[in-house]
Order: sequence, then C-alpha cells, then structure tokens
Amino acid sequence: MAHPVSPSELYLWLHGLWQRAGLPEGWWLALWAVLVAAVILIFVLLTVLILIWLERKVSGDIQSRLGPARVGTKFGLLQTAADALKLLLKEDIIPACADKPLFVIAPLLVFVPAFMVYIVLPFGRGLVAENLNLGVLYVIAVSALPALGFLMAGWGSNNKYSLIGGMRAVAQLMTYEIPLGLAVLTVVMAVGSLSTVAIVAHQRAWWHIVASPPLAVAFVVYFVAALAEVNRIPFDLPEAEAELVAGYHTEYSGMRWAIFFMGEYAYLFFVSAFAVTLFLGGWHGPFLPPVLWFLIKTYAIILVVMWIRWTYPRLRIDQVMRFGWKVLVPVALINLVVAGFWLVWFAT
Amino acid sequence: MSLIGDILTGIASLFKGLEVTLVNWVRPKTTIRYPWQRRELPPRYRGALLLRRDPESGELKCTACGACERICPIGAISIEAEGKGKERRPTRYNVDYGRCMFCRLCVEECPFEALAMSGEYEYAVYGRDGLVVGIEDVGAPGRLQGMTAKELRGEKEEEVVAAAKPQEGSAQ
Amino acid sequence: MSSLEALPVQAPGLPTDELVINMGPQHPSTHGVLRLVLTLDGEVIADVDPDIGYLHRGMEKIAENRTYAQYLPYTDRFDYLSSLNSNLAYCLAVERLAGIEVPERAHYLRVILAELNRVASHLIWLATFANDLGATTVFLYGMRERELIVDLFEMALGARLTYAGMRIGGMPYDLPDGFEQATRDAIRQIRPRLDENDRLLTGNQIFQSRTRGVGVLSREDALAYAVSGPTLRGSGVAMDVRRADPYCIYDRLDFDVPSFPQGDCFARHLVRIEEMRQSMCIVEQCLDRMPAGPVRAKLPRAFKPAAGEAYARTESPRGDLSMFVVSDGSASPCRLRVRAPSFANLQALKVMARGGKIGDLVATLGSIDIVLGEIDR
Repeated sequence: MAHPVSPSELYLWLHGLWQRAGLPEGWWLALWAVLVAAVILIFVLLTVLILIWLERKVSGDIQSRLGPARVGTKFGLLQTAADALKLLLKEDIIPACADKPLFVIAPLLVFVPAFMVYIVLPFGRGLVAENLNLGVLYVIAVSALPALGFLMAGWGSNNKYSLIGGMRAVAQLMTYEIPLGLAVLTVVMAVGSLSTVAIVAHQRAWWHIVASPPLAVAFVVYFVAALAEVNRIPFDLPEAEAELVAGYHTEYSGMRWAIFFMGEYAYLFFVSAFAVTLFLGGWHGPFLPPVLWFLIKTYAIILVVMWIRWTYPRLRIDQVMRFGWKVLVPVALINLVVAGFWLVWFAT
Repeated sequence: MSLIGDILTGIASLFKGLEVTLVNWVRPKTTIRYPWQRRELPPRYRGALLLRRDPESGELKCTACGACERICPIGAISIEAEGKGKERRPTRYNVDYGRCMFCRLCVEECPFEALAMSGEYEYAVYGRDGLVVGIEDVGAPGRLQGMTAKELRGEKEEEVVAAAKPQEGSAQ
Repeated sequence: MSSLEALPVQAPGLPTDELVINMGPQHPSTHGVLRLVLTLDGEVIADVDPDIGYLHRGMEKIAENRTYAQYLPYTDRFDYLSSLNSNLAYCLAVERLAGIEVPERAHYLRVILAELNRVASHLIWLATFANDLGATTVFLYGMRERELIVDLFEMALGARLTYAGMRIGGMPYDLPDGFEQATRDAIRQIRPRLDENDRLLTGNQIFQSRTRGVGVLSREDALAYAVSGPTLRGSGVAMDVRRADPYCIYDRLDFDVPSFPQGDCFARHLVRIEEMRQSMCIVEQCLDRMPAGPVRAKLPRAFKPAAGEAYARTESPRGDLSMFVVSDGSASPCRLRVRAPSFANLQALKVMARGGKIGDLVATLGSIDIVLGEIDR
C-alpha cells in the first residue's frame, strides 16, 4: 500500500511553492531543517512518554501487579504526563561545590545525541529525515557522545558515589562500542553501503537475520552490546540503586534528572529501531503501511528488552568488562571474518 | 568439553528465567484496588477498639474496672468513671492510637467481655492530638464487630460475631 | 564467567590512595539503619566497619519496667520479620524460669506458627536479596508468596507482622476453624512457586556469577565469630538448635538440616531455600499429629516467679536466638538479655567482604540476612 502522496513528492511540491513565491533558497534549507528537527523532537518526546508508560505497565504485569491504573482511565495513560508535570515543578538543586558548567551541560550531552541519531532512521518508504550516505558511521560517531556526558555528570556532582558511577558508565560504554560497531560493520559488509536506506532496501527479499548465519550472530552481538549501551539490566550497574544510590545521576533532581531519563529512553527506542533497520527488514512487510510495520517491529524488540530487564539480576562491573572484552569482542571479530568468507563464497 | 557444556547450561538457564516471567506476565494480577475494593477481614482481625453493649438492655458492658488500663504495656487507655459497684460506668474511655500497638492484651484481660477489636483501620487524622479517641467514636456501622476474649477462646456464650461485608465505595 | 579471578589492584610502583566511603544509615540495600564505613582501594574493599545503634530503643531496659505478660508484645519488635520466633524464645525462657508445664497441643501450635514464620521470613530474605542483585521481579514474587502465609496468621492471630501470638503458658487461644485446610492449601500453592523462583533465580547464570565464590566465610572463621543459623550452615557446619538442643516437640519431628560446605553467598542461598521446604514439611507433620486439648497452662493471677534465672535457646530464621531472664521474685523481670543472632553474624561481615568489590558487599550483606531490630534492640 503506497502513500497517497509520497514524502518526496510532498517535499518537491512545498519547495516548488517556495520558489514560485520568490523566497531565497538558503532560507528554505534553514526552514526545512528546523521543521524536520521539530517533527523529530515531537516524535521523540511522545515516544519517551509512551515508553515510560510501557515500561511501568510491563513491569507491573510481569510482577503480578497493575502498574499505573488511576491517572487517565484505568490504564494510567496520563501517568507519565503527570510525572513530567511534577518534575517540572521541582526545585532545581545544584550542589554547593559542584562544577556548575559541567553539572548543567551533562544532561544535555546525554539527551541531545540520543535525539540527533533519529535523523537517519528510515521510518517508512522514503520517510527519512536525511538520507546520509554515511548514515551508519554518523550513528556510531554520535553515539559516543553520551559517554562524555556521564563523565561530566559524575565529576561535576562533587560526590564520590557519582564519580564512581560515572567512571563505571564510561568504562562500560567504551567497551561495548566495539562489538556494537563490529556487528554493524558485518551488516555494512553484506550490503556494501553505509546508508540506512540502502540497508533497508537490501532486505526486500530476506531480512538480514535469516539471510545468513553470520548476520544472525551479528544480531545477537548487536543486541547484547546495545543493552549495555543503554544501561539496561543486566548491564545497568552505573545507575544501580542498590549499590551506589543512583550512580552518576545521584545529585540530579527535578527536570535535570528527567532529561537524563528521557535521553535513556530515547536512546532505547533508537537502538531497537536501528536493530530493526539493520537486521529485521526495516519497514518491509505485507498489507500494512510501512510506517506501521516499522513501529510494530521496533516495539517488539523493546518489549523483549523490557522482558529481559525484569527477569535477570545485574552483573558486577568487572564481570561486565570481562564479558565485553573476553567474550563479545572476539565473537564479533570472528563473526566479521566468517561473514567475509560467506560473502565471497555465497555471494548473491 | 565441559566448557561448552557450561556455556550451553548457562544460556539455557537464561531462557528458563525468561519462561518464568512470561508465564507470570499472562497470569491474573493479584492487586486489590484499594479504596474501590477492600479485602474481607477475618473475624479475629485486630483493628480499633470497640466497647460492646449488652444486647437486651443496650447498656455498655464496661464497668470501668481498669483491668485493661493496667495491663496495657504502653499506657494507651485512660478511663474516667462514675458510680459504684455494678452501676459503675465509664464517662470517658480514651484510647491513644499514637501509642496503641494493637496487641489485644486489653481485650483478653477484660473480665466483663466488654472490649473487642473491630475491623476499623481507617482512622488517619491530620494532627497527633486527633489520635486520642473516645472509644465510642470509632467503629463504623457495618464493619467487623470484632471478638471478645471468650469468643476468641471459642467459648461461645456470646452472640456470634457479625461478619462484615467489605465496604463498597463507588466503583471505578 | 564462572570463576572469580582476583584482578591486580594496582600497577606496581603506581601510587594510589584509599577512598573512605560512607554507606550511610539511609541506603537502599543495608537492610535497615546500618552504617558501613568502607575503605576502598579502587573497586576493591580493604575494610568494612559496621556502625550500629541507629535502631536502639532500650528494649532490655524496658523489660525491667513491665510485667512478664505485658512485655510479650515488645518481643515481637526484636526480629520483626519473624516475630513469632522471638515470642517463643521469651515464653520458653519465662516458662523455664517459673517451672510452667505447657500443654501438648500448645507445643504443636507453637511449632506450626514458628515454622510458618520461618518460611515467611525466608521469603522476605529471598525477595530483598534478589532485589539487591537487580532481579526486582523476584522481590514481588517473594512478597506475593508471603501474602499467602501472612493471611494465615491474620486468620489465626489477627495481625500481619507483629503478632504477639504466644503467651506465657501456651497460646492465647486455639486456631480458628478452617485454619488447617487453609494452611494445607497455602503450602500446596507455595511449593511449586518456590520451584519457579528456583528456575528464575538459582539456576540463572548471572545470579550464579554474582554469588558463587562471593563473600566466602571459612568454617574456622564462622565458628570463631559465633555465627549461627543459615550463615553457619552455609559454611559447612550442620548446627541447628532444633537438633542440638531441642525445644517444644522438635525432637519428635522428622526434618533435614541442610548445610553446604562452600561458605559463599550461593551456599547460604541454597540453605535457606531448602529450609523453606523443610519447614513446610514440619508444618504438615504437625498438622497431622496434633492432639486435641487445652492450649494454655493456668497461671496465677499475679504472676511472680521465684527468684532465679533461666536461659532458653531457639533457632530463629537468622540463627541462634536466645533469651536470658533473671527474676528477683517480683512481677517484672530483674534483667532480660537477648542474644540476637544477627549481632554475631554481622561481625563476620568484615571477614567476608574484605578483598571483594562493592557489588560483592551488597550480595554478602544480603546473604547474611540481618535485621537491625535485633542487632540494636
């Protein structure tokens, strides 16, 4: 089922209007960028609201209780909005001896990259904000920025717990960037392009996860590394409540903490959507509109991530590091080599 | 090789855990949606104190003998009385719920079967002074009427305890 | 991922500083108001110094100003998670002091209630232990199973945590109708759920790597620190007061005392899970064999035991809970001394935590299962 009007046609028509009105081209580019950014920001914020509600409902269901069930009908649909409102009204506390610039910028450095990477996600046929031909590289590069934010938060809070939490977070993130990148590289090798649109187009016949065993292994590696990137159990030691109160965001309250939280959920949606793009066929699927398929597949992955979170205990930091370096990186490397051989011998 | 065996057992254990949570995911939930739903309290429930009345005359059975006041480990009960002998009645029977630990020793000590612990557990107030309550003030009608000492011990000389229905508020 | 290798703490020749961190009285996983002063060398713990006393309420002094009967509800508040066991220890001590003979049926009732309380207490332990390790779901499952037992107590005694469920001389009153059937139903429901929690937690690879080889307490250290209960039995010493020094009717009951030699958190975990199963067996045996009869010995109106002293030992879910009562012939005890198992067990934390990491400390503290109420009194 095609769109009644394809997005590129819409863009051309609007651009045509602009040109006929005689307005300068530079302003058009600027306006279009702002519009796209606004749409993506709204989508991200809505997604975060939905995800937080979903997490609470899923955790409630698994734990034999109801979850939010009062605010906004008996499914608690407005619960997140109520919580956001409460957080907005909270006092903004900055610890006395905190490093103020670092303390203030850190949450932004965590949230903004999480929202920037949405630009290259193909939501549907032709529905991508910017079809960068270096899309995957862009994602990997921008995903490294939140680590800096965690370190700034840990140091800037002037708190031993936060410092330890920040250092753990950075160590974990740096370690798991590597298998993540290697798994993604396997896909890029199979497709021959770094562009996310091209990767999705390559899966028109077979999804990557069933196309070849190395790609299936790459999916598993990617999934585990992504869990570590988003600080989800079993890798959530940096923010483990039982250990260091709350790790790097111990000293953050109110809206600043909410921005950390939003960044984490925005990034969660992104890594699931990216997994769908790379391995699960993107927006391909019969009967339903492509956008719907994309969302269904992404939410399926998110549900699995949440299922895992509410089942397992967490790993200790040295076990996390050991697993990353001694298990995941070798597996990813060997898989990359095997994928190379596979391509040569079974190239279609 | 036992290493491969270990790895496979480890991975299998992870899936077994997921299976358990999946099974519980689809089971009915155990939450009771207070205050629209309330639990049915057993007859022996230890709630707020209640002074019993004689079924024929309607008079309080309490003769203000002070046995409950003396046995209370924490001094939660205070009684003011008037009259002498069998005609003695309490004018004021105060229970300080800021102190009461709901141990039920007072009910067991009462020689006149005058005390019981009802099913009342919703008596929160806004100030600590409000916790000192004249005992006639609590015990909403329809709530569990509690059991006196003899009833607890199973000596059924008194009337059978009135089992309460859970109070239905407006449903959601 | 199965064995814990010691990582080198610092590169040779590189000067480092030790960090002193306060795991303060308010902390999500210190199981009460316990303050731990940690000395860290990087991520490795060099020393743990517990600082107790935040929950001290002068309970032993209060005993000197209450009559024996009045003091019973206070004994609930020592180990509030297994208050019936504390009630039992107190009643046994006072009965031994005054030479009171408790009726047969009362013994059976006491054992039933104490063992059900053991299961409930171990369920809370399991819930909080798993929660500290990150498996929040098991916390909710443990509480859900505990609700079944607490409902039984509510049916029999009227309360859900601090029961005051025993009296000097026996029980305050008999069990209500329907209790036996309800108990058997509850046990029938809890058994498969324990197996479910086993599948979810005990066999889980991540849980095993968090608990195997962690917080090791050697047999010698355990005996030297006067550790008791599952903490001791997890270090290979199969000592249980119910077998070594039987009270009530434990000498007539058929049950196993589980013990494992490894001395790590995993061994203590296995001990407690197995104890829950054994306790449910004990309850069923008692329900089968319980005779009819009175449930309380007659006491004089003014209870004044002759001057003397008595010591009663019991096995609470945390270990050897004993009470020492001294009478001077008056209506109040002259001195009451409580030997709380968690107090001794907490001392062993130093030995267990040294050389481990902070994550291990949390697991170890959870596996000792302390209750600050009885440590601080």
